[in-house]
Amino acid sequence: MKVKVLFFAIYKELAGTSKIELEIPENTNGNGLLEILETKFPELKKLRNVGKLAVNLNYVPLETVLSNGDEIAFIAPVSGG
Amino acid sequence: MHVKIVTQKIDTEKLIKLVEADSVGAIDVFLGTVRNNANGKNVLSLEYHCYEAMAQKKLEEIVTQCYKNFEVEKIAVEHRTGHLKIGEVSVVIAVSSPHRAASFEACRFVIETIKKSVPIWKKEYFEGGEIWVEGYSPEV
Repeated sequence: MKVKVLFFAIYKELAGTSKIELEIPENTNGNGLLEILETKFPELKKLRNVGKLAVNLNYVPLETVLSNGDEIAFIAPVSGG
Repeated sequence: MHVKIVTQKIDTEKLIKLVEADSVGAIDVFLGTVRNNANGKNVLSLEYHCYEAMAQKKLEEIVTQCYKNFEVEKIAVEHRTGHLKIGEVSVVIAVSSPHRAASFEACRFVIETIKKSVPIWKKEYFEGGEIWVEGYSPEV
C-alpha cells in the first residue's frame, strides 16, 4: 500500500525533503514506518523517541496500524505561540 | 469563529472588530511577540514553520473547546509563520464575552493549548547559530 509522509521543521532538515510517497507493507504501524524512514534517511535516527505520530491531521499512538492513502507526519515537540 | 494561519503582519484591529458584539461587556486580546533573548542568548529573529492543514484543524478544535468551556461570545485567532523580527507579533487571540472573567480565561486557554498541541515550530537565530526551539511534546 502507498502512504504520503510529510516532514516539518527539524524532521524536514534531517530528511532533506518535505514530502515522500512510500510503498509500505500492509499492517505496518507507526513504529514500523519510522524504521523504514530511518533506513531511508539515517539522520532521522537522531530523533528516535522524540516525535509524535500524526495520521490524517490527528495525533495517534505509534502503535496505530496505517492504511493505504494515509497522510502521515512525525511531530517534533511544538513551539508555537 | 475566525481561525487562520497567515504569512503577513497580523491586523490586530481587524481581529478585535471580528469579536465585537452588542451583547458583550469585555474583549480580551493576547499578542505573542518575538523576544530578543532566550536562555541567556541574544536572539536576532525567529522563523516559524507549521503543518498548515493540521495547525488549522487543531486551532479550530481549541476554539470549539473554548466555546464549550467558557461563556464566551466570539473568538478570533491568527498565527503568523515565516521569518519574524524582534518585536513583531506572532500570534493574536481576541475573545469577547458578556463578562470579563470568561474572556481572560478563554484567552489564556487558547494560548496555552496552542503551545502544547498545535504543530507549529520556531527556530531561533542568534549570534553564531540557529536552533529549533524544543517546546512541548503533544499528548496523544
